Amino acid sequence: MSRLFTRTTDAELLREADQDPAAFGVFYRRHERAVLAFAGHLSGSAQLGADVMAETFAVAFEARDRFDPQRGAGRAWLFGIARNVLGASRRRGRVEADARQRLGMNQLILSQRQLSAFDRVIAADGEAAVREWLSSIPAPQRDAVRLRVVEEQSYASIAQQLQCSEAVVRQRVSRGLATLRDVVGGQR
Amino acid sequence: MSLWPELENDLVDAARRARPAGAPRTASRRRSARHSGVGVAGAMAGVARGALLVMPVAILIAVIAVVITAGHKHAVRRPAAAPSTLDLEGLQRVRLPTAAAQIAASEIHSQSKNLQGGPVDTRHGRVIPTPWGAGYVLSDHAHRIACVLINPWHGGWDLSGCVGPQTVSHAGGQWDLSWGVDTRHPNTGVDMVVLPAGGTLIAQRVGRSAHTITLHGGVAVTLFRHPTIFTTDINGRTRTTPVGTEFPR
Repeated sequence: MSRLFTRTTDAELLREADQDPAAFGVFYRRHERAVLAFAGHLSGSAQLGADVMAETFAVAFEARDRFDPQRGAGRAWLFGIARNVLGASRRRGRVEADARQRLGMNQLILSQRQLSAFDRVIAADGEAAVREWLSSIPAPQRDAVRLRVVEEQSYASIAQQLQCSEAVVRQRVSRGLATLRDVVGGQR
Repeated sequence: MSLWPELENDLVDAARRARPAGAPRTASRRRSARHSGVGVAGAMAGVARGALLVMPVAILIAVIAVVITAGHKHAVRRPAAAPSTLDLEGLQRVRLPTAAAQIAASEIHSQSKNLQGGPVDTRHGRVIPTPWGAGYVLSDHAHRIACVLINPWHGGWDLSGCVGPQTVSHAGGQWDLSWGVDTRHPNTGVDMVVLPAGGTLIAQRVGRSAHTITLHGGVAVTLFRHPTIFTTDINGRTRTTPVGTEFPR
């Protein structure tokens, strides 16, 4: 083989996708499991997680020109997109599909077997994916963001657990999410 | 192997459609290479630059079920690229074994809302050869939907999924399905490729020579070891799918 993508960086793959669509397939494969685990863990459902993952990669493809490796790794970028997709989906009451529609992608059917396999991936890797997502922010913010965003606890409950005021919790969550958003950059 | 090859393929297709004007026509380069006698290996080296990756020692076995479809949904505009019916008449139609029929009924019912076309006959199927004996292609009356039932390693019937014209007409007339990982055979993946009439499928295991998959009445089920690259060609439009490759995290 004349060239392998094995050592190709995410940024290179995303740039290469314009010339060779297979490059985006490699990018997808590289992060598929982690993004599924992340989205499935946050959404609490393999079906939702898969749907969010599909939209996440569609958004990532559309936003590939704006990926900035200086801001963070490709996976962190995808996690940020996935969280945005999930957040928007919750607000709308359905999983976002705008990017997939713009790209003319198929409506994919998941078999029960696939969903079972996804469930196993989420159970095995979900927690690790969330830890990886939060690894770029300081510990106090990490705890606050985890309890608020991942576990969806109230600010009052978090304040009690972390033994600080609600205002401090809000500040930590806000700052933590701002840092995480910075990794995503202007993907939307 | 990709957990969700259909999504991967859909994304790559989207990338292909979005490719800016003037970008290299990788598909035609692949075709030229093969036709010039270089073979798929040469073609791969030239274009499928992401296709082959270093694999762990694990050997994966994949089943590729290829359903060659006939009919041309948009025959005038793009012959053979967007079929609307399946070429199943050449296959023997039989009553399904009870266990297979039960799986088919259950799985197809759960997918019915996503399928366009008439109801699928879950009691009869067209026989196709598989490495584990007979498999079946189920369809609706008009042959606009195909669902494939196999019994891998005689461990129980599985429905691969269903394809219909709404998906076949997309992406140049082909669509891939997969079960992903089989829990009984952790390194086993299953892919199904749907091609219109005239389509061909070539498999090449890394370091081995390429070979064309034999079709039986438009359907083929074959075992492969991984990593293997599959190349489909539909009227000169080629697509490469690596199966069983893994990528470093």
